[in-house]
Amino acid sequence: MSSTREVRLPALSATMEEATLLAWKVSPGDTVQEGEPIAEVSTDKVDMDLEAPFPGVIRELLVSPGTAVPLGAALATIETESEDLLGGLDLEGGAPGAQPVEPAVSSLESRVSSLESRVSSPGSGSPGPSAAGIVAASPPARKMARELGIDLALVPATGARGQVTPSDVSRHAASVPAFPDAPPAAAPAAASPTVATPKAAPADDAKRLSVRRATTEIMGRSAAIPQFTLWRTLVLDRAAARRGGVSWTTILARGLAAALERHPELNARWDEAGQTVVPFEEIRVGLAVDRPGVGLVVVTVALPDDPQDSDRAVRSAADRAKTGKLRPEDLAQASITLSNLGGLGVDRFNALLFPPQPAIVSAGSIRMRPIATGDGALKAALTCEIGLTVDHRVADGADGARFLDDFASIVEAG
Amino acid sequence: MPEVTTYAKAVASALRLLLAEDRRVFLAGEDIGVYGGAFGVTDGLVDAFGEDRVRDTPISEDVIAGLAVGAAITGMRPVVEMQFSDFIVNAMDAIVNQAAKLHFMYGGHVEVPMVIRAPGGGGTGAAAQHSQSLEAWFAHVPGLKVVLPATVQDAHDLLLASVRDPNPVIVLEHKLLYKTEGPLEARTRIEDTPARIGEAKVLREGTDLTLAAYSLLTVRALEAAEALAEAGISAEVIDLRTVRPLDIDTVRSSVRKTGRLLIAHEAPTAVGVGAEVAAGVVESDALDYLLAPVRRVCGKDIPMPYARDLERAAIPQVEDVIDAAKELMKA
Repeated sequence: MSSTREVRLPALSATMEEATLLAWKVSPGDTVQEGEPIAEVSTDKVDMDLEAPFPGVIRELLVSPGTAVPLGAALATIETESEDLLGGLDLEGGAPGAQPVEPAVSSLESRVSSLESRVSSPGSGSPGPSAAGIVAASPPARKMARELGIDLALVPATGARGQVTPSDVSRHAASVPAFPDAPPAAAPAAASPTVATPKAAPADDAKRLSVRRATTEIMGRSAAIPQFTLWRTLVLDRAAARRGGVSWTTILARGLAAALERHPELNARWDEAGQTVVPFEEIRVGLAVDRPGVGLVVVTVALPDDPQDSDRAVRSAADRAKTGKLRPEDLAQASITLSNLGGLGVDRFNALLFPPQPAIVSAGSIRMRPIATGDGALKAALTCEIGLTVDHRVADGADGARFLDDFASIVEAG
Repeated sequence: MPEVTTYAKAVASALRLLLAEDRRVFLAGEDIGVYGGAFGVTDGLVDAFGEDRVRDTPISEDVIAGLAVGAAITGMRPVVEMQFSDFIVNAMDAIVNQAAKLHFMYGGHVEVPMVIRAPGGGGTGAAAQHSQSLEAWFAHVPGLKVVLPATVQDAHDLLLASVRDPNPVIVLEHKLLYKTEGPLEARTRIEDTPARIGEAKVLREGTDLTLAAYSLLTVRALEAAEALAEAGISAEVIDLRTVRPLDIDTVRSSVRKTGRLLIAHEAPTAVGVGAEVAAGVVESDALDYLLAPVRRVCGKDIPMPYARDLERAAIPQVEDVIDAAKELMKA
């Protein structure tokens, strides 16, 4: 039997009291599946898709784009075959997230259970942070947050039980900087220096603040790590002649991946609990990107064998980072990150570790500079100063030096 | 005012109240009359209430269970004793195929208000045929309720609640608990019992992990919690009290608070009540509060050894619970 049910604004974070409807993705008459995005909403923390809570046909859209709506307000109606198991539960003023839904029982089952009728059980607690402050999160979400160094309490939960899901962690990770050095990182050369942002300024302020808070937390942990930085000047004339339109960012990222192949000792993290070095299963390179108006975002880039393919992958990952549309694969745990401020005229800078990564590489500007040749003469050459910061618990200075030497050879050879 | 008495005497005083207050109640079992029961629980009752109401039976558990079913469906309230819970296996047809099913097969027109009391568990050097913990067998049968009191007060109150129940209840007492002492507020009327079948109890509040147990392991979990507190670990101890129906909500609520669950029972691990408790937690939103995998500390999956040291190793001791809790805190 079909009935018309309301879609109400769920609590998307523990602190959320209202959200702004940015756009509808459906129109009256559209058939939607459960979980299908029907609207885009903006909360105090992030922009996200609102998913259809049950399947059916959209009847009416009750709210216009641009409207701020309170938690629990009706947004649309859907004609559906699915039963209202929540029984009109009032989300407004309730604990964040939905209450657990008890499965409907058949009449036979309920008659059998009447045998246990004198069972009077204490009421179950509600989802959301419990008395002891545990944040509700599915086990894979908890694992992901641990690996990415994310505080679950900061992640807006969208799970059906009010729990943080893996995609919530991904989404949140995409909105926080993975990176200490505050000024904007240079994107790949092709990316335009200014990207017009359609979002309203207040929403960006809130995002920026959440980025600052996350940075504070991550850098607190970084500061506790003994780390050192090695410097080396790359001479890039030969590479410049061979690069064939591939961005310097891509060339440097590929160089890092190739050098890590030769230096597995740096493709590992320090495990505090076990007091041991744990290797990463794969080699992945992260890229620091400045999201306009928000802050730094680190994306993990795929680097296919072909340099042109790599370049396309790097550019599209950077674009996704700039627009906040990251995919889960963009957030895979990287073993090393590249931060390139050269595009902004910085000659050299000291990047700080982003735990649990054991190393981070800073790249200064690539331009013509005087260098001394082997026979004592001066000549102009295309150079770039590279800084390699290493977690001293994972490796020593000489390890870093050997890595940097191979990295230089690979990149300079072009 | 509560008096301090033993678990066995708490059962005895409940039986005395039942016989005195409800003329439909009678007892039956092997050596429960003149001899007073293998563990002395029914000592003196035959003198007080006569041989009609405290009946010695032949050595046939099948007969004991069968007479209980017949008496129950014709209006009596039999409370029968199996000398060792291990011997219940001789009476499985009467219990599983008759007692558990009649209420349903007669469309609710018949009730089977019978209680089977039986001492279970090991630790007495009585070897494999006299030391089992068979609660999971009965808990698996729809239509049976399974009660395992851990404290002196519950030995009294839960037995009264079991007799008040209109359908069959198995009360598994623990041999090692009979001599334990504790405060008892003896009820003066059957209906005064505050115990409800299917209701667990938080015996100690804590914040770091949940210790869910029943019967002897509840007592050991409380001792373990005391030691854990000294080590800076705050354990919440839940006495499940009945394993069918199981009050899983109390466990879930606790897990939402502590984030860690350790289940302890003497019965072997495999296909035990602990598995049901663990499943009941992970099937709910309590899953999202777990900070570590659920852990069980249960009996070894072997027939109970006769040798004392092996028997001790086969049953979770207080230190086993402490060790498991500490490991859980590291996970």
